[in-house]
Amino acid sequence: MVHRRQYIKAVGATGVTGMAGLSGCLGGGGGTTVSILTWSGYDAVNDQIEESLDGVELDVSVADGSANMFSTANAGGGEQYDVVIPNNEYVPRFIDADLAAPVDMDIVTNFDALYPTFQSAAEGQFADGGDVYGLPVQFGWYAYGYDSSVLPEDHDHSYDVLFSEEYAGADLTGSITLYDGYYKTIMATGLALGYTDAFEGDTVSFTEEQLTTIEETLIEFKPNLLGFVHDEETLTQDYQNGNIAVSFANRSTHVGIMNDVESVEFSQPAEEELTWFEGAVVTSGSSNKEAAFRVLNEYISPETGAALSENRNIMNASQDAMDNIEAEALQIEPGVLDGMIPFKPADQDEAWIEMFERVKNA
Amino acid sequence: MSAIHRLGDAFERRGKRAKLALMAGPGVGWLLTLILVPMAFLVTVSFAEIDSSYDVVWSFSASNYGELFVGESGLFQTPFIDSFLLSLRIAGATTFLTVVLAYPVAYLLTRLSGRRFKLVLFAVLVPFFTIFIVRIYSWLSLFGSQGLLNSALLSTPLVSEPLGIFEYGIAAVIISLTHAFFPYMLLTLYSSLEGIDYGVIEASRDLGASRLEIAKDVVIPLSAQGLITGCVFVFVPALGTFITPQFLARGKFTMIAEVLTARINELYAINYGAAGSLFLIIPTVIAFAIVMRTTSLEAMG
Repeated sequence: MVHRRQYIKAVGATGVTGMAGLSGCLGGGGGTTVSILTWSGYDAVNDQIEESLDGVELDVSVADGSANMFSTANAGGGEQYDVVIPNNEYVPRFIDADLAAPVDMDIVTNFDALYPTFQSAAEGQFADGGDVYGLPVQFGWYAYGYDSSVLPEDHDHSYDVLFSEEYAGADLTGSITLYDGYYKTIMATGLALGYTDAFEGDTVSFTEEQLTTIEETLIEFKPNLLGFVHDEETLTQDYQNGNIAVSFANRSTHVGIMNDVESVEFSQPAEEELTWFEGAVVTSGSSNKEAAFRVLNEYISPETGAALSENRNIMNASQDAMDNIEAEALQIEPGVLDGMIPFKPADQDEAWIEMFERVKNA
Repeated sequence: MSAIHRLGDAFERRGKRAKLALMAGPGVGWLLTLILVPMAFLVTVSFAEIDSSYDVVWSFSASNYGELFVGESGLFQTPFIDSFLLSLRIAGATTFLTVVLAYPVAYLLTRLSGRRFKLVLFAVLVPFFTIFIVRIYSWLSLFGSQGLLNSALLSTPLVSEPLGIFEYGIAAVIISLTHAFFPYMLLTLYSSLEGIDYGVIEASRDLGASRLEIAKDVVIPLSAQGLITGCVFVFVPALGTFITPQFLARGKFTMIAEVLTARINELYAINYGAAGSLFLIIPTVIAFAIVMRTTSLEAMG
């Protein structure tokens, strides 16, 4: 039996604990909370940033894709989050919807340490009326990975591999996977077919005739595919089981696979890699713009940027951060950035996705 | 009746109504807030447009429904219809297989008692105590040309090359769904079979009926209500399944839930998704209407 006095004491203690917890939740520290909507893995450097930036606390939320980030930010009128980090091809959409604030270059002092490719990209794709609205943070590219015990390393690296039953003496029938998403798979097929001119404008614009050929190619080659797969766990298991020899997916996905399967290598296709980079945007409705830009500056700083990359298996857009990275799988060839093809919006999104659905059901 | 009595009755009636309101209130509130309101939103969005900034434009347009059914090549020539028909076939095959597999087990359970009953039930249900995604990963290892099933078969003299039925694809999805929904069918059939008076079966036997005739003319008709309910419990979730084909179809075909998810995730086409979801409700409503007309609540177990 509980004595009345013991009960009152217990209730009192619970109340005190509850109030302490509540005050913590309410930000009793008095700092500025920067809310961020981004991809998974960014929260790994929260402590590091909070230590570096006195009085700044981070509240990181994860969204499932750039479209989701844009719709969430747009629904909240750009006030719900201080920072949103979609893929680069979505940043112009933020600018057009007046959701992005111009980058304060006085605060983002690490901008100059970005690879020249990304400085140019920011000043091009992320610029409007002389202002830059987005900051490249991390980057990666899409190409194909392969099992070097099946396909020799010295083969001619080309997207043709993805559409060959036999290549460099290796039988690839039924052991190729393409990305399970219309955008990347259609672009890769276009590159394999030599439609490089479609990538030259602000959008990726295949002609009707080119789109028909892409669809026919995919349908014709489908019986030779193991399927459309891109998640790391499934691909790793498939490589381990010997189900696949070639897989078209993100480099970071392959870095993860390479950690588990020694014989897997990543290609450098002659047609160049399809590059994406994350473009961080401080929202126009943010009431913590200064703190938000300080946080972005940290994401591309030599120490925090390197830690972020090592945690996410993704390269950093800052050369200084990359110089601090020790993981071998994240090292890049110096010239690899020269010919990259950056992601751009598809000019006929709906036609592309419908075509991809037809391919899958064929 | 005196005025005092009438007043007393009125208070009693009011008290009963208040009690009823108190009891039913939370449930009705729950239904209204969490089912009817989102449903109304779904219907409204299915007639709306989405602009390039992903804003919902509240206009009344049937174009989303048109997009489901009318394609470049004509009426019903759309990926949505293709995936819908494929999903119907997969859900139908899954339902058929669960019936074929669960009937004998359910019948066996009704003939067992005590420890043997518990043992068989436990043996049948124990795989379902694991998390669904873990079970999917085990199916992933079993299928494929180099999967455990084909590898085991290839190590015997029975087969010389991997069997197509154990490759990733439609067969793998149906087998996995049958495994996943087996308990729904089993438990519904069991509750229905358990109610059968076995004196009727014995009488049929005494009158010379064969085992097949007993099953066809006695057991199945008497357990028909449970069978119909079990079919609905399996068919409806199998029709809208998402995770299983994601893993085992390897993207080589798309079931209907995957089509809608891709449109929403990649294009933010929530209007298309809403129209498609509402269309998906039609077979579900038909299935439930059949159950309601043919089955009592007791027979549902």
